[in-house]
Amino acid sequence: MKTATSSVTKKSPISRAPIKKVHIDTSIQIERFKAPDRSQVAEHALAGFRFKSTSSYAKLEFKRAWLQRLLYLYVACEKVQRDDDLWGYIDSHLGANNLLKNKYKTAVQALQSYLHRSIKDKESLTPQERLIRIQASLRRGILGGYVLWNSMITYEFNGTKCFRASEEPKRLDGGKIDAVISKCKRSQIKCAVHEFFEENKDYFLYIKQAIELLGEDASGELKDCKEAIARSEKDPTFLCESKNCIKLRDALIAVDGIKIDCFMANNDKEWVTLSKALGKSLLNPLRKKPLEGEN
Amino acid sequence: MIDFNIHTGNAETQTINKEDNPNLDSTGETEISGKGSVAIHKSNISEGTMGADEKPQWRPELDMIVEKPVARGGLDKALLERAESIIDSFDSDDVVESMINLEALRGIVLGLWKRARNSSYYHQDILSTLENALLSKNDFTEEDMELFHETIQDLKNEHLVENHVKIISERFIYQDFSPLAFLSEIKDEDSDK
Repeated sequence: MKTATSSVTKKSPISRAPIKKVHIDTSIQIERFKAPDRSQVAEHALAGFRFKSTSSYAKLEFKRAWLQRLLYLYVACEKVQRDDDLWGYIDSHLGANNLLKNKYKTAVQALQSYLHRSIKDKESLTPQERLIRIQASLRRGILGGYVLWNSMITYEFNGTKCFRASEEPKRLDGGKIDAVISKCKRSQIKCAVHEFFEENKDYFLYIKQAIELLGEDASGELKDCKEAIARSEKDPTFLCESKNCIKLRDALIAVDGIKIDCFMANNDKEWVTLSKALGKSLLNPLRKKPLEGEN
Repeated sequence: MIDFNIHTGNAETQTINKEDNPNLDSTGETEISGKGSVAIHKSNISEGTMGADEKPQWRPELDMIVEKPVARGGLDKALLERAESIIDSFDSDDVVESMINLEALRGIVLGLWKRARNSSYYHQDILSTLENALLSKNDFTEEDMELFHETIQDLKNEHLVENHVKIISERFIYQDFSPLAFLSEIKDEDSDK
């Protein structure tokens, strides 16, 4: 191999600036996968931080919101004979169901993005060969998702010792993939979310108060969060049911990064309140309009 | 006694024997988890590399997992040879030549999918990882080319195991090639919940 010299891309030298730290929500991590007009904005904002943390609970959200939906698309590839049939399959199975609207949207977006990016091959490959190619891409994305996630951060807080987040997607025989998220039950506690709540109760109560101040202006997610905090105050093991801990998801991610002074998220509806309640600054590099009262 | 030499990927060779390691299957192929480890193949079997009384040099921290070889065949050898030759002659100083080489590489990878149906999932995964990287950008570093070269070497193997895929795909990730790069055309902002 000839050696490359001047035009070889070189990685930038390590900065000697003081370590700036940021705690990242799932919403920003996901933006980092998207088109350059979004991902580069996020990367640019993150470039100033040498320490980038997130929470294991954010990884669980990533698995639920993306890896599982990609797996749905992967399985759909097995159900059809040709790549052209994928659209019809997704439409007929997800499109009509309003409850599955977001899952449908993710599946369609992922497929569109894949097709837009891949080499146009209508003549050289058969529809079946194209299906195999799509499936392999999806398989690599799903199975490599956790390694990729870990490579994008410097530290993952795991105060809740979330068992479900630790379940990495696995390859099974016959091209099958296990990306199941287990259900948790109070009768069979697998994590430390209840202990985490107890240890950080004050922070959760600050969050609850902040949501109460919002009144009807609070988002649905925040209202659920407030209710869940109220229930957990009486019995923290309430959170040991997976259907309950999910109500606290953004709050869990935020409190997990309590040692970090700056949060970065792309869902202002929840994170403005969470950041204020915990006394943190919030960066949202993808915010279109400044917040009220913000320069 | 049959001994198996294990190439750890760190230029060191370990020797174990089948009697001491029940995890080795009859094909002589198994998998070692841990950084830099690769599968053992029959081609690495040598006899009489240890004295009769010597204990095998087996590191217990290398947790061995039995994995059967994939029966399906590999990819188109001629195309793989051609890809290797192009990668080896890659000159990133010359923009025009780089573009011509990259164009050919992308075409070869596309051609490799024609026989991928008869290859193993592992072959398909590694091929997909390579294709994904080739589509990611237009200028590649020398390190990228070395990685592509090794990827082609892996693809030339008729038998691959999970660890081949794991090691190579992790290396791609740590060289900034995302396995989710196919999502990079998503422009919509409201699809994450």
